[in-house]
Amino acid sequence: MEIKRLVAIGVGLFVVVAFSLGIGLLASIEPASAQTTQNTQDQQSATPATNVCLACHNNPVVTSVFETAHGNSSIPGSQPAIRGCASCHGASTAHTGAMQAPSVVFGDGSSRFPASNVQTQNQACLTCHQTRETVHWTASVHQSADLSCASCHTVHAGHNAVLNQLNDSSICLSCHLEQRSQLNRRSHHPVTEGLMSCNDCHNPHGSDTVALLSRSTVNETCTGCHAEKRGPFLWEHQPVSEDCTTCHNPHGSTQASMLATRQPFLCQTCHAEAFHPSTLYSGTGLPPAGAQQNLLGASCTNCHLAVHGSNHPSGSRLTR
Amino acid sequence: MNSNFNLGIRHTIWLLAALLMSGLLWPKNAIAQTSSIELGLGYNSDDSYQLGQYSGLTQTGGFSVAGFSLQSPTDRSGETNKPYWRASGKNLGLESGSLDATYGRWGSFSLSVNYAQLPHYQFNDGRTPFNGSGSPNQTLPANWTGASSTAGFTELTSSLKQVNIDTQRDRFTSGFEWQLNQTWQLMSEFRHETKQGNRALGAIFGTAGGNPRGSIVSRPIDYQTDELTVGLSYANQSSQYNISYGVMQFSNNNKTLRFQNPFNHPQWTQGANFSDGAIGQIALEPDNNSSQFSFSGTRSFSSATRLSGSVISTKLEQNDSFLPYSSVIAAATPLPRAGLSGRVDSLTANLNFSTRLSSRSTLRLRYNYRDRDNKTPQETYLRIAGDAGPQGSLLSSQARINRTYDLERDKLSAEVNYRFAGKTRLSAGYEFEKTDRSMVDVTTTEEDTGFIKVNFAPSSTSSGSIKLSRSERDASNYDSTVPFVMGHNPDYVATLVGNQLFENDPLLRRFHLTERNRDELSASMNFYPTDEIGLSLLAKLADDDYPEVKIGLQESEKRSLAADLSFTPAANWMVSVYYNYDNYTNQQTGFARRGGGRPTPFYPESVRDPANNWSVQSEDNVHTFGAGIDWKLMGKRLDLSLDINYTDAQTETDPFSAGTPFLPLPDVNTEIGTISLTSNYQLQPGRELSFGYVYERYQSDDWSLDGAGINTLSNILLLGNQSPEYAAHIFQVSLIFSF
Repeated sequence: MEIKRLVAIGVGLFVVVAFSLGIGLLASIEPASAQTTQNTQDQQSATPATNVCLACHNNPVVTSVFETAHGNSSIPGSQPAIRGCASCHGASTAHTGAMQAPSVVFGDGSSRFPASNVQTQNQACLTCHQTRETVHWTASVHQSADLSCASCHTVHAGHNAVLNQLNDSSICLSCHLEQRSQLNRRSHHPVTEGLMSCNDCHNPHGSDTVALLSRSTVNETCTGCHAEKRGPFLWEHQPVSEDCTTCHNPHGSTQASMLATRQPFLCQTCHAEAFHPSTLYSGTGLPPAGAQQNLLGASCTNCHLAVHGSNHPSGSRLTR
Repeated sequence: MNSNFNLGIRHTIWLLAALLMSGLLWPKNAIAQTSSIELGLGYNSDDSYQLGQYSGLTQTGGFSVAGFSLQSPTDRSGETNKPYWRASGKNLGLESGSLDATYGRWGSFSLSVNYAQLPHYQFNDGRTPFNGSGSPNQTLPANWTGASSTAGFTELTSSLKQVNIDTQRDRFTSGFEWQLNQTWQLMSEFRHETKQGNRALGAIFGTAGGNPRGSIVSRPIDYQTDELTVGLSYANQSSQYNISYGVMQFSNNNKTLRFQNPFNHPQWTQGANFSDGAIGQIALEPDNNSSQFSFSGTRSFSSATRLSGSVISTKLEQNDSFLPYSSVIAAATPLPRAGLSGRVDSLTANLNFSTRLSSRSTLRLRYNYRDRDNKTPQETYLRIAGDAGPQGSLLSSQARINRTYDLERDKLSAEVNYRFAGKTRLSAGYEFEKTDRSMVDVTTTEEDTGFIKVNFAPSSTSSGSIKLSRSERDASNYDSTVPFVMGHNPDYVATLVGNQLFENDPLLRRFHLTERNRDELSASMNFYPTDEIGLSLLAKLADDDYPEVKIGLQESEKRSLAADLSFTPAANWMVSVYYNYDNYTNQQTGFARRGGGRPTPFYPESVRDPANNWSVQSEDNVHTFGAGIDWKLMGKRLDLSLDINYTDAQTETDPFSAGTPFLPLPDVNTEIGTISLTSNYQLQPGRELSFGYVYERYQSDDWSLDGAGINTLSNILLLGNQSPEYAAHIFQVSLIFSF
């Protein structure tokens, strides 16, 4: 165990040292431009001033971009300050000169101009957005699926709509159809109610973790809000310590508490001790035939109330 | 539950009148409208906790509609470092309201604050005889008469009081980002969150004849969580690094639930019965705190090759004082320590490498490491089964050692993508995962996963994908004696023989630890025959097979079908329809073992009575349907939208045994239907009249609740809450001022 930890720390330190050396040794080397050839050519060309664009495009759909950082030319050294509309759309000399397509056409394109390929579109965004939330975009599952930034973001919209759009889970659920169904079940997180967003747990731009989670593990993600379940408890429940999704479906379930399966049968997949854990529960335990305490009310958790762990010295069976 | 800033109806009317009279809010032009205020009134026709579980609309009556979005005027002067601000409020007339504000200077810094409320209403039809329900100290009426079963509680009916189960979170967050220069950025985030209310919890006092005696009570919830993270990041065109440190403190303001025992039982010792004034104690969640250090970085060596990695180290601790073994019995053997001194160290490390092998192919390599090292001290605790029970001896199964579970996981994966001509792309990958665990049935599991995926585009108006994957998990060293041996006093274990070293059925294989073969197939198709029509189809099949399981979960299947159609017949209206069908099936087996001590003929398998074998198949069938129409009329002055959502879920549970009496279980059904109509009419530029109507119908039945009265169970007092059901109409009308 300790050796493994040392190896992991060593890997981490290697990453740190390698990157640090990378900064030092490669600082003088011009990094290979990730931009497309077209963009490189654009940068070398004269860029049209924003007012040239507005001569034809002076309408609210376009000018709303000035309400956002993307159209704000007051940021010193920023792309909008230096290149205006061309910072995202490229120099577009063919467009201003001969009314041909702009260098970069986002989204699905228009009736007049087809969309640029996804890589070209995204590179225009990644020129500025390669830090923090988007640092794992390259090689992420959404990049692999050929999603463009414009698939989710509406850059020209005012009111910080870029973020608002993402907060609106309908963007995610338009593709994640199974999760859309689960979020409509009786037991679910309040995503469709607008009190949570997919972003609260996931980073759609990519992450190091399974299922694009924002935090480093499933349990850390869950206990970010459910901190009372972190423990460490005197009496741990092993599946709880390992992975909350062993028992719960976080997107929603037909069972109470987002359980994947109904009690007592969920518990009986792991517990077959003598007496009540190994008993067959059926209609004989329901009124009027009977009244079985492992079927009615909260089932097993009528008594095993501390299923996430107990800190009572007599609580080894999670009943205290 | 009261909201902290819920705008009342009277205040809403006054505010609305003031705005209407204010000439400042009437628009001067139609273009530069970047801010808005919405004020109005609404009405809810039904009382239901389920209806308002997340909105707070739990009672019949009016409510106010209030929201706003304000921001600094557009600045196109070109002057650098200009400040900006934004402020917004949402659902201010409800208990689920939120407020946001941001102030900053473009390219320099930003400071944001947010306050949000999140209610969760569960039910309000519970009843209990306890006084102080929802508090940490719960007592019974002075005239209460104890009995050995609930049927003997003669004062129960006259003592019942209503129980509401609900919680509310209040969350304050703030964030600060400071762009030090073109490459360095400093950030900090802070969260202060409280959660208050109550929740249903079993309060078990003691056992008699092997059966527990207890009550479901409303326990208090009074949590506080504080989290602070500071970080520094560096970024240039080829490299990005981030280093951060965070701390998180959870505090529970109620560490103990104390409750009066309603039962008497002749088996209990003196002082343990109701008539003795016995008080039971439950340990509620302890405080905990964590600190976390993380580093992440990426380096692009070229436009085609990139390396990224992260290391995250976390320390989690708690050391709340223990309760005594029993609140009634003076334990002869004292506690081994006053508090747990619990500590869990976690480490995750990730390394990702991606490169373009050729103009058509890419390679991705990933390594993930996770270690959970539980450093909590282990001790022998001589448990008392309930507050009423006697303390056993150290040479009994009552002497338990806390198991401190460790986990270590290595995962290595490789994926190759090849892009053929056109839009066809082939992906294939392999993943190996090895997990080491301590103190459980299996020390090591190894899982191999392979997948192949094809993305294709048969025409310019259609695309699709098919993915097939197969996983095989090996757990060949499964040893069901480990949890027993590791969790009991070694001196007691030494008194047992080999076939007695278990609590669980030794033929049981826990599904998350044992051998598993997983097959998954997913296929999707997208059609865009015209710019106006889009159709998406999705099918998923997943089978989990547990080949070594004789007792436990043997097979799990998932089937999902989905269709999504969008249609835009004209520029001013759009129609969308979707349908999902999901089918989940589980097959599990058991062996009823009743009576007898450990030497009872039971193991090995050859001595078992097959009449005790049983099986249960459970199946969920869920249909989800939705439709939406958005229609802009009158030159886009009127925006109409209609949304319909309907979910029909059914859970069938089929028990079976050839030799044990059984009866079928009823199905569990939930039906949720919602129709909502919204219209926004532009009275004039900058002024909109909004009207909304929602009809929602909820029907459900659940055999664990329906027909289960407060004293239906002989040994446990329930709250008696039933399956929710309602049909509600919600109206709201509001004015939206834009300026």
